[in-house]
Amino acid sequence: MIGRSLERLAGGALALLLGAFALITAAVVYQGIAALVPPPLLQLQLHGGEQVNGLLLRETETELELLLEVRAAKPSWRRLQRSQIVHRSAPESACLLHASDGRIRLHVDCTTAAAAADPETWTRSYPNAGGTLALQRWWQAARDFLLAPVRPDGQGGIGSALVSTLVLVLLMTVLVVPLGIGVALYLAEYAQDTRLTRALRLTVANLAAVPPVVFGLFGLGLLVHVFGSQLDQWLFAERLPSPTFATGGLLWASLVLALLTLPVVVVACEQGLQRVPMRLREASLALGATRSETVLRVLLPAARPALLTAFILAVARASAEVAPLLLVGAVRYAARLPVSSEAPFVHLERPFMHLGYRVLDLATSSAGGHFALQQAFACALVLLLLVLALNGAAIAARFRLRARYRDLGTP
Amino acid sequence: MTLALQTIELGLKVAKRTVLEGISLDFPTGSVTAVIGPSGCGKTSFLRCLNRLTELWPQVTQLGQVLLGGVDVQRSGMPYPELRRRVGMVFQRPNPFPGTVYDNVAYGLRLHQRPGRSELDDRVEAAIQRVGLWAEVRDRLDEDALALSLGQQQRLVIARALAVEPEVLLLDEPSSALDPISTLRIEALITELKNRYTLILVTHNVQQAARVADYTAFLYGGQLLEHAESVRLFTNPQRQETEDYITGRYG
Amino acid sequence: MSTSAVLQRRLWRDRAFRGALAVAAVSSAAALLAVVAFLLAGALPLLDWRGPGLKQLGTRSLDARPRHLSVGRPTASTPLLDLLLARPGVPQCAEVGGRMGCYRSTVARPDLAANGTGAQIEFTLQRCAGCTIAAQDRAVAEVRPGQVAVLLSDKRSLLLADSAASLSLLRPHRDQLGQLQLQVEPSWTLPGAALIALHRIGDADRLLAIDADGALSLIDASQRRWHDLAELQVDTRNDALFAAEEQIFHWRQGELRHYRLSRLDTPPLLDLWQPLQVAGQSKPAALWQPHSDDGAGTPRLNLWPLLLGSLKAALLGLLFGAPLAVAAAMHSVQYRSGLWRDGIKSSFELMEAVPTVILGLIAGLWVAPWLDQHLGAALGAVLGWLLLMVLPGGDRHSELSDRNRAAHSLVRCALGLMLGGWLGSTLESQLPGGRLTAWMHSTWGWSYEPYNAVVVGLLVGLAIAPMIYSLSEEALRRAPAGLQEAALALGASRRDTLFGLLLPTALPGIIAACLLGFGRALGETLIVLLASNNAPIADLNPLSGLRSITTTLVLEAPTAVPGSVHYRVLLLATLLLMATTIGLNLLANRWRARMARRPPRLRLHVGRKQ
Repeated sequence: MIGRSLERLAGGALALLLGAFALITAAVVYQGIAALVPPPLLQLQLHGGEQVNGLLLRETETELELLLEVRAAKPSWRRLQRSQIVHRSAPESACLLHASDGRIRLHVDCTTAAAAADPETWTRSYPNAGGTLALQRWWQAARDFLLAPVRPDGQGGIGSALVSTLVLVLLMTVLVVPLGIGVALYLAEYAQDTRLTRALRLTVANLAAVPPVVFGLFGLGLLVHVFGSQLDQWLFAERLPSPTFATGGLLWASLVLALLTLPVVVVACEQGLQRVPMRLREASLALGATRSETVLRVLLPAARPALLTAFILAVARASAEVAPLLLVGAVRYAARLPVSSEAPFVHLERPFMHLGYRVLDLATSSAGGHFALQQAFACALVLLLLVLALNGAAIAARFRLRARYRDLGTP
Repeated sequence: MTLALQTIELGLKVAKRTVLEGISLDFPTGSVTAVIGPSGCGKTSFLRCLNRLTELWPQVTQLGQVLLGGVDVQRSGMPYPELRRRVGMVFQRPNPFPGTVYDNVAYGLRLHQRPGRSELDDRVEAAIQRVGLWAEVRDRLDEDALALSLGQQQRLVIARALAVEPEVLLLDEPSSALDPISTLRIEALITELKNRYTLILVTHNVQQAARVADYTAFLYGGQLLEHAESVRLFTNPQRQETEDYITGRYG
Repeated sequence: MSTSAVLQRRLWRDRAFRGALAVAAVSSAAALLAVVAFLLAGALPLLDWRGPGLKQLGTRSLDARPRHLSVGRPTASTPLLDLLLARPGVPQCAEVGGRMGCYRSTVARPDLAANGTGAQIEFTLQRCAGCTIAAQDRAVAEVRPGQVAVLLSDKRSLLLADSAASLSLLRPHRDQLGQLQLQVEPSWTLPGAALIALHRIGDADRLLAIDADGALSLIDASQRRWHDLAELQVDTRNDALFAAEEQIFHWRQGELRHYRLSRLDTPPLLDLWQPLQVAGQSKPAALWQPHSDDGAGTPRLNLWPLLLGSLKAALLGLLFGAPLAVAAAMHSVQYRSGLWRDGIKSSFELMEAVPTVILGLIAGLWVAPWLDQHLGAALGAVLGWLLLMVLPGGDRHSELSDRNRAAHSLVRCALGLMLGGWLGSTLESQLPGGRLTAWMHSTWGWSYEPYNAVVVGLLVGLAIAPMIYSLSEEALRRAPAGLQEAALALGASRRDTLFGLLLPTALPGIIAACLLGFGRALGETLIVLLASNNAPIADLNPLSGLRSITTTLVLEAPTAVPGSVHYRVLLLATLLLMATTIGLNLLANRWRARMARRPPRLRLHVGRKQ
């Protein structure tokens, strides 16, 4: 009886966990896409005859929040109780005028003289129009979301954050993959079972147990404060007291991420190497190959899918991690990208923007209000898709790997 | 009669357990010696002592001497790669590398001699010819070696070992994973090869030993019980254990 | 034996390769050691349990007793009270924020004071130069003569020490009517003889005190702590002593010694754990206030709030995540088709990859506000789920086909959640106020913080569940397939093999998985940051907020000054955190090794009547 209930409970637990995961994914996808759909322009008739026009920002069971206009970077909002509203409509001809300095003006009917009087240079959009105009609008919003330059208050497009994230992760990969493969090779192929190598193995394994934020603190305290300022004194003395390397930046962040992902790479590579059949090593050695020749010519090619998996997992892990970056150089706004067309092309000392940090920043900043939250979800969607795609690729690679080893026979 | 290989009081310990003890055997040049014995008697371990593949096992100590062409392998400090080039080995199950047929055979050549492209082609062809596989694979040199049949794979592996011109070839139950026809081919190949190489054949199959070997050594419990010309050993064994084994009372 | 040049080069390359790999391995291990060393080096000064002390810098002979070096004689700041009492009506003033605060003695008869009958001291606050002082800006308190007093760094409060070496604080404050009051706060007593002099050092409320026996001690007035300075003993009759900031000069019998107060900023290790008595609070409290704003200057760094915060989040996370994950693993190993198993396993792997910042975003923006409004519905959903899962029906669950089993679980799960949720929200709307949280507060006095530890725990649980799932599933698969098939062939049901073979065999592995999950939960940062109110509270109440070590690092480390006490305490907290997670990892390794060593356990009762 108890066993039966427990068994059903176990089924329920699985359903609950997978359901929660699905719900979270769906919520982020929905909100992220919704963030790109511009809000409708509503015309509301209130009790008492007052008429209010505004962009619908938020709608709950009891109230609506409207943006009335933006005058000289100062948005004016209005919150209305549902019970106040007599009639609600979204006229097709309504339009929104957007100046390059951020000012916004709304017109319920764009054909009127009042609307025509507004300056020609302001861009016009029709938030309530259907058909191709709606598609165009959505396309415009998506493009803005990706490509619009970011503003110092953190609002704007995510393009530069995306590029910076990718550069950071790429740099991290360059550091960690050779090192990780080296460590895995040493542990799997060379290390004999002595006390020293056992300690080595244990230490590398424990690297995975260190909370990510601790690496961040390490980066801040040792790399930035100690190494960074030392480096500044040697190489960039002319720029002091403004720091070059003595502040969070691309190099330190990628080092910290490399430390963080090292165990991932080592474990994945070691597993891959262990699954290469012993017979291949014997065959190579019996032909008079040295150990290094065996490793380079037989083992690594045979374990290539495993190395690919390790690489993908490291990238996925690194792009999902935010906490340590808060300490070593992720910023709300960086005027310059960490890559440029001028030498040395990759600017290791620059602070950078980061997708995950942007999610956090937009979610916690009080300035942007509802817009910021929507942007946070859109960012979160991009991050989620990136990470899930990478992990999906790793899983697919693993299935291929398994099929391959089935061909080679068991180890 | 010159000796291609000779062991003197060879012994092997794995984690303090004695696996082999006091084995002194001579392997004349151009002969086939079969090493037979019941399972777990140390046949394979003995074979691995000869090219030092024992180093792959943890906690092993190898005792005694192995003389290759009259030179003590241990004392002369011969590097393992050099030893293994001169003493080739073929394993129980065919173990081609994942890669093309051509690359498999060229593997050792590329390591040791690094010949030019045309010379490499010639030597790969010669090696495959020698094992009688050329007709079957001449059009499939760029195919994956794992696509060949097991018997072909085993002959390919032998060709791979022969390509680097070893003096001695160790065969560790080379036909135990193969079907009877492939087995016959391998046996024919062994007889063919013995003019040029010294062959040491570990086998489970007493008949096989009787068919192809000039000399036969009987190992039992990690010790050498009997070593003689095959004809004499199989017709007139000196020890009771040998007789029991070859007549199939155990094994 | 002549080896060719090619061979030599190959051998050399082999050795070089091996060396390079060894360097890689050693350097990656060194990375961990470097982290530990960095934290240790930073936190080491805190591990000094001695606290402040005196360090002798030099000696000089000086025959005559220097006149201006004195013990117990009035200097600029020392026995302020004596000064006030000796010159009644003459104010001692200090300006803070444009206002002049003055103390003066109102007793015109020092003879009375000398008799010990008490005297009055008055504090006035002058709003502007030349303004008359209103009645409500005037406060009076009784003091006893013979005390020594010093004005504290807020330039308002007086610290008084009387002959019994008990200290009290005279602090002006306004009552509800706006009337200035002079309040004498509860005294605390130092061991030893009566204090004869107090001297303030630096900007913080640190006082050098000398008692009648000539013993020196250092008093931290804001934290109510003192440390004896045993290095120096003064003969109060014959010696001379002079203190200027952190320098102390001591003259005795023709010799002038120069000392410096050292380790002034480092609280000894134990102080980080003791609750502090703070002015205005009735009870000592464990406080984390790295930038204390009440003017006292010294940061209040008690580690309990952070430790308990981390523990609270991780324990609740484990409580929610581990049972679900282990149960899910138990369910999924029973699927027969590899496709189902791989599918579920891969889903969990994807789930593990979800960035925690996204989970935190969901927690902070949706879960916390929603739970605040609809706690009843949530509780109802949980109960409904439990009930429907336990409820009998749908016979021989484990013998169903894969697809039916999955559908069965899913339908029951969804049905239970929906029914329970509907029932819960219906009941909740009947409550006065329409919210369970509000009702709980009004009825039981339970205060419900919207951003509380339960919300954090829920999401942390969700974050660590995939990892626990993967490891448990791996452990459950360890039992040899042959053994399970043999049991099935003997007539055992799949359920019997689960509880009789798989679970007992996998138990150490499951424990290890939970330990690792706990370690991961302890290190979780962004969920805690976004889903909690980040309030450093030292309690284990799941309905209140929390602040973990990790979030403290993220919030405070970038602005903490390297080398400051605050920074060092952060490093110490990190060291504790890291020691814990590594300890958990080692423990988990041991459990897993135990699993690998021991043979499969089989506890089957085949043929038992169901």
